[in-house]
Amino acid sequence: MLRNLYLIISGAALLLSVWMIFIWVPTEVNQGLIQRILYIHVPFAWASMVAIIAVAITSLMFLITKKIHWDNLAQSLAEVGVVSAVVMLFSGIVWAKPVWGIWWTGEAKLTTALILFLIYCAYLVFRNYFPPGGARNRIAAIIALIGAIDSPIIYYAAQIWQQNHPQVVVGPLATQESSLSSEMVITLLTCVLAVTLMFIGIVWVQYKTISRKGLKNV
Amino acid sequence: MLIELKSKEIVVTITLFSLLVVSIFAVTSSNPSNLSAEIGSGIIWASIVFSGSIAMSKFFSHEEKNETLNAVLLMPVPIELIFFGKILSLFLFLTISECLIITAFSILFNSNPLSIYILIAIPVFNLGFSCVVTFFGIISSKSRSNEILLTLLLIPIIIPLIMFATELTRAGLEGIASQNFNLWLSLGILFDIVFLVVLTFLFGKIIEQ
Repeated sequence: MLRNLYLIISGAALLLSVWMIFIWVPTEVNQGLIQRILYIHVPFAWASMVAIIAVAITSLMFLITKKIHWDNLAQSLAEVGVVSAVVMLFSGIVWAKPVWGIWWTGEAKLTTALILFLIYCAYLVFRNYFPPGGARNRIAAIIALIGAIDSPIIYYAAQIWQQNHPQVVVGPLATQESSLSSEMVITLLTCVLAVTLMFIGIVWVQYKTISRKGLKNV
Repeated sequence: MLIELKSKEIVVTITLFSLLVVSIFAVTSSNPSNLSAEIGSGIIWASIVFSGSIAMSKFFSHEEKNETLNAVLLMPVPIELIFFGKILSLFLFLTISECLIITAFSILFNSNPLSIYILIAIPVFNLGFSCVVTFFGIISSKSRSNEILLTLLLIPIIIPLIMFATELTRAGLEGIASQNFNLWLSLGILFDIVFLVVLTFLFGKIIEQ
């Protein structure tokens, strides 16, 4: 019952987002139609960053409590987080070319996102290459924590390297007055909500699948 | 380390692989004598990272095969000292490989990368690299496809260190004062301290596994 209700709500939120992106929201004056990619790029960037933090927290919980469900949750979050990061990187590249005239730049946020994506790919590859068992799970949790410890250093390095990314224009970290109209902000927030609901749903399904597989192997 | 001094297998691997990498860049460059400092520093550090990671995976697969780590663990010394010993030996191997790569680069590209900046970058880079590679080398030696796994785990983690070393080497090749030298140096030292402390603590945990 609860599962069906969740499916209906998240499905409706996704449909509403699609309608808002393609029909309701006005086209941005300077960038034109391509600016609509913002409503895909930002929610998936948000989902992948949340996933990375959540993987670190659940891995830490696993190391403290030694309860396998934390490890299963970390693995599900990493898998869905990596897919979200692929969408984020791809949409960012497609957006950058017409707006900045280049596919990629060595800017701090881009570099950090790319390296964190690579770290979590390595985390998943490790889980597949290492013989299954308690040792694999504990070492994977340690790798996730090392990735989390490394991320502020990567960001610091990338900040020194170059700084020419567009400033944050929405939310508490905004460094200047928002250039987005109220319709655009509402659309963006709706898309963030829809992608978050979808993300939680997929993580939950993946978590159940991994848990069932684990029970079968036992 | 004593086994290696007898067999010299890793030193030979590092020598040949680093020469090969630098030679590939030299033969594919239309005018090696007129290389920009940015590309030159990238070539030097890409060669060091790849030859280093290949040699290190060989080092750890030897250890796994001969069960030397298990033998060392039987010694009545703190586990942290074993970790520091491994870091020191890898530090030395890496320094040898860097000397070779820099010499090969100087000859093939007719350029002199030696400067105060690269002399600062090398020990800071080597300490961080040896620390991370020791930790991940022991982990990956237990898996199938250990060479690829070590490279996959190692490179994303040491990216800040690669950026630090590349930036200082570029300044040295250009012969100008490095912009943000203090920031880069603090980043390199911060990386070394954080990973030395954290991985020393975690080393005991993975050995228990």
